[in-house]
Amino acid sequence: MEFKSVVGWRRSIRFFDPWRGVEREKVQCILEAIYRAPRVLEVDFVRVLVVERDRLSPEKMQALKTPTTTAQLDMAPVYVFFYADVSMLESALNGANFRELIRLGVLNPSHGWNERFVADTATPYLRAVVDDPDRVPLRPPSAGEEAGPMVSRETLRLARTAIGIAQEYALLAAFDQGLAAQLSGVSVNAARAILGIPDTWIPSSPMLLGYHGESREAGGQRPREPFEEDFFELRYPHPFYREPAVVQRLTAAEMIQAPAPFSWRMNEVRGLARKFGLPE
Amino acid sequence: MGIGIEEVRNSESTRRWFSSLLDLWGPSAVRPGLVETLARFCTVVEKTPDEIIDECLRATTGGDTFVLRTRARKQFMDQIDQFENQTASRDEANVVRSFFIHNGIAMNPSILV
Amino acid sequence: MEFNQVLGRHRTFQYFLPWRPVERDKVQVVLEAGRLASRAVNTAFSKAIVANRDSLTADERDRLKTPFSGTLFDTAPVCIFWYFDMDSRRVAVQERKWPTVASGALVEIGALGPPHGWSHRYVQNVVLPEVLMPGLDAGPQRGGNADAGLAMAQGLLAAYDEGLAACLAPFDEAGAREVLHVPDTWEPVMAMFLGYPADSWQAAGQEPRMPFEAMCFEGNAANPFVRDVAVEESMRAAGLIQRSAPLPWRQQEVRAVSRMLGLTQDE
Ligand SMILES: Cc1cc2nc3c(=O)[nH]c(=O)nc-3n(C[C@H](O)[C@H](O)[C@H](O)COP(=O)(O)O)c2cc1C
Repeated sequence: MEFKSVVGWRRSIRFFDPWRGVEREKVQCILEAIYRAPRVLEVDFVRVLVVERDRLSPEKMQALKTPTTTAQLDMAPVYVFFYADVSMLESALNGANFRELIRLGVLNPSHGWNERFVADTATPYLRAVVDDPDRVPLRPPSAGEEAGPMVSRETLRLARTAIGIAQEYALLAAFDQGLAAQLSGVSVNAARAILGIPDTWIPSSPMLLGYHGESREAGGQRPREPFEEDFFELRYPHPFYREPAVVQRLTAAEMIQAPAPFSWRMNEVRGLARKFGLPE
Repeated sequence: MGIGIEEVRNSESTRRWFSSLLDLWGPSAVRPGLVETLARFCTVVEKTPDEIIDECLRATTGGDTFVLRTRARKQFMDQIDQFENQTASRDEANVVRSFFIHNGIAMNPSILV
Repeated sequence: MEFNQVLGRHRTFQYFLPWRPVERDKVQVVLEAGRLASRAVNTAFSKAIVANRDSLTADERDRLKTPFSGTLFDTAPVCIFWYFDMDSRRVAVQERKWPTVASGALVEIGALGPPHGWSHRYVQNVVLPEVLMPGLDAGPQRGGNADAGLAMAQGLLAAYDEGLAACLAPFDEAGAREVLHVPDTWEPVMAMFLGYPADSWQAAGQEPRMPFEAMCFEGNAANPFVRDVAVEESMRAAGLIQRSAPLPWRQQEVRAVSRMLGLTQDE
């Protein structure tokens, strides 16, 4: 699909056809996309874990649910979990990633990159992130379990950015494959136990994946605050002027689509409730 | 103990349910038979609608927000599942779930495949 | 452009034509794309400030530089500073000015409703006090936010789709606060440098990653996802997977481009 159209058709789908599995090739295509996502400071933070719903026991499924997790978990046949391994930043302190990029001609002397720069400037920069004194436990203590190891907030900042990049790549790749997807919170402690997640991996919300159980429109593109609330030019709070002609161009390219709610949306949702035996 | 239809109809939580149904779906959602179904469930659990909701949501000290009591909610969710088995009707059970949801207590019903 | 070709275009672009400006509408497209990314509880965590290089003095640019972005600030015609607003959850919960989960908008538009166990009352009585309000008293907390990465990533891909080259690199937080008048509650994500590439679109070639099997797993964290070569080949045909670095001519290209841009060629 055209890129802009993928962006436009992506929205959080909350009804999946539970009986239709996702072809393994399509799952791999999504992983291949994530694999090509930019690395934050050339650190390999991201870890992705694919789980098929039907391989989980009812007890495990139940454990993954929180009071705000809803029927989506039962509907989506595949879950893609995202983590960042924060220990990778420490591993990168030897500068090997930078040296390799210099060797490959990605980073060059024209921009100051050479062996000395790696040793004297680039890796100390990473070291300062790792050693930053503002530290928190990787995991708050919970019933019967001690808190996780301590890590600097600066490390978390980079790791979470890396996860977010991977998540958006994954969502877009899913819709490009004609699939439906949504990020959704689950019990992180249950997921850690069920999936055998190492201590140094920090979680984010998994992506639920399947085929649309609702219309692709899903009631229309979801609302946002005005553009000018988020984007500024040169000095805050001077807003970045939103040119209507650009909005028109993006509308023609299907990136900006008719906004929610469609007049027929509530009837659709009631129909979906009946389709899946859910309450109104 | 039987719970009377009128008592169910006139309780605050039922009124809240109806007004939320009306607000979200329109008049057709407030269909005949809802009160009767809820009354049957109330009879099974031997509680009035307001007692059920009060058990699931504890008011915070300020009184304007609530805390979900997960254990009570779980108990009622199980009782609704039993009610579904007894009545052999997902529709009837979903009427009860709808009553909980519109009163602010999320339900996690399984899907019908 | 085709979706996979856009993704396949990503490189750590380092060489921008300093004299070729970026059309303003393309910058807007990048922001529009960022705005449409998925975001938890539909809240505006992601913010950005756009600066044209030529609107900044040399001294201002110097204050924005980090070891990773020195030359980029001097050559790329546009830089977008991406941020995470640590105060956005509080604003969503307390002000309820915009359509977020806290304002009830997702129930209102039929995105989340009774079939999923949600109602207005559930949002007001449970989601707000139990999910969205806890921790607000502690004030803004640093430590990053995936949402800011989601938005920035979608913006980045839109830049490639618009025919721009891009590079993400860190900028100096304190310098940016002064130069750009950034609010105290904004935590930096990355700077996104935009421009037209001075080297070829292949640049050095596609850059290395850790082994796929060390990053992607199946079922549990000890079980690598087994990669099917045929799928890999189909992604190569689609343009996602491209020739990997180094390309045989890269060193010559780098020297020539460095000469053109007046950059040092010393090893
Ligand atoms: C990190 C993250 C977690 C999310 N968790 C949930 C969730 O638990 N339940 C849900 O219904 N939506 C969840 N969402 C989806 C957002 O609600 C959704 O992206 C937002 O409302 C914007 O709508 P759109 O994705 O359709 O554009 C999550 C999104 C992100 C980025």
